[in-house]
Amino acid sequence: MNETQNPNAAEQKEIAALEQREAQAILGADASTLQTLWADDMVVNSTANLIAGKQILLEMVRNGRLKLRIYERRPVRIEVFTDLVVTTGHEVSQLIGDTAVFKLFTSYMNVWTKRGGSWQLLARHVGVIQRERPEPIQ
Amino acid sequence: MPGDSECENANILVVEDDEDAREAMVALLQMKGYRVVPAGNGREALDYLDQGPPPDLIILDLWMPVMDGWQFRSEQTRNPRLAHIPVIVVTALSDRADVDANEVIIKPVDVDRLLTTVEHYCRREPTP
Repeated sequence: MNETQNPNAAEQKEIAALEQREAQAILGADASTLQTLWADDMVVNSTANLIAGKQILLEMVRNGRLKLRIYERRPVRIEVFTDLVVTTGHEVSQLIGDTAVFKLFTSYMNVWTKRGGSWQLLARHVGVIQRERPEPIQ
Repeated sequence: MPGDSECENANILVVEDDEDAREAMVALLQMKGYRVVPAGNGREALDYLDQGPPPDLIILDLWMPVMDGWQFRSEQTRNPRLAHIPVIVVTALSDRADVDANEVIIKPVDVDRLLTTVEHYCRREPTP
């Protein structure tokens, strides 16, 4: 389907780029970018079954408590509803740390909202598909 | 909030078999200034409690291998040295949270509620 057939193509392209920008910001622990991309009232339900908001998550990024070796995101669907966009897809991540260093394969749903002319991440839910423990280093 | 003088140095034992959930909770509580000891099941938790000074608070999952949260709680309340330690149960079993505990929080856990509850119990006067 080309852009003339798909009236949401521009928004889908913009959100797809933002999804990658946000993932790169998380990987790089770039709190200032995340501060901009995350809505102040953002809600995240993580694979650890913790529901957290923007401030606590930014604090974790700044304190090095959310430090990732790998973070890849592949959206599967991007649905546009006027000023809301829902993205679903899968992610691969691996924390840096002494423990819990397994590779996580997850599905996710992100909700983006347009505020003041800019898109921000408003809600996010992540579910575990599979955990893979890395091969021990010889 | 945690990190202030009243809660600083409070010791918390986190008993949770899910590694992801346990590590995330430990990281969160450490970030807030608590000293945290993780345990993967009730048996590990009791072994820790047998060896060291009692913590100020226990955060306890219910459904765990080796020794579950109900068994752990039963052992804890029978031991006069450990019975007074407050326990926050964190569980997915909303209809089966029939456990004697100071608080029960259903998973997924709202971080704000968890931190407020933890702070409440860490501010309590120590039981003689």
